Amino acid sequence: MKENGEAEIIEKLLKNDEDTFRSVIRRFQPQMRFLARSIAGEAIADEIVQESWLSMMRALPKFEQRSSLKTWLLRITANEAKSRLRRESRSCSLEGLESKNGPMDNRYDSGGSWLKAPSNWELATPEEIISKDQLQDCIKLALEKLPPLQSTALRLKELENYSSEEICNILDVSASNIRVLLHRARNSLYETIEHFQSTGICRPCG
Amino acid sequence: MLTCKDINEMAGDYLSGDLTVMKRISFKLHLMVCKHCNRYVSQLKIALASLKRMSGHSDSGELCSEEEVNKTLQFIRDNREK
Repeated sequence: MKENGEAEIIEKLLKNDEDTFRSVIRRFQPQMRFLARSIAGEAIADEIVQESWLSMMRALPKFEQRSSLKTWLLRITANEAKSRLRRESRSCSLEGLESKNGPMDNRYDSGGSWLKAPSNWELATPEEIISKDQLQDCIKLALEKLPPLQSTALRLKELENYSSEEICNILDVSASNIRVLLHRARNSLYETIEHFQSTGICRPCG
Repeated sequence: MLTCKDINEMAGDYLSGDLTVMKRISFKLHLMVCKHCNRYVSQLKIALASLKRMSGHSDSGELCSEEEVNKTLQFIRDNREK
């Protein structure tokens, strides 16, 4: 994932080259903000991004370039966001992996066959789903209610097209945990839409 | 033979093209004979596509404005030495 000329960029950053700083901020800050907002919410996203730049400055001399500059910056940002959430104990669980059972697990019997089969969706295309405002709001609410690392893993994977390996690196979770985070987040999204379609009621699942 | 629950667990990787060839084949064989799983996988695909549509690629693809760059630079200068 390393890009050409990164060693040079880092050397310039260490020499406090302003133009290089500007271009690095211009290029990476939107992604850092996206990540900070996804983990910790809009209200403190900007603060987290600024703190992340300071952490980055402190850590830069020790940066070994085993990952790309972008992945490293995003990892720092995710760490800032996570420690901020822990400090404010706004969120009991960042990962939501305490329970052995995830959403939809109870829909299968012990042999792994369907107990409660999926219902047929009346709104059967993305266009139909997003044309319904209440359902859109419901999906947003469902994402907000997910443990922060579940929704963030899902956004990075599905909206930003990061590989699972990069997501592990950025969020600092193991490969097996990232699988469970993504799996649970997808099933929560699925069940939220399914429940809305069959009852007209928003009950975020997760 | 994969169970329906296996299909649930593998569906995300299937849709993002991350299954190995062998797993992909067993996955597809299951879908050919199981209409519930077929429905689940195609509806999950719709759910994820809806999410993509909704986000409309918010802010992460863009560059940030000069004003924001200046703000960040100023913040770094003000706080570095502390």
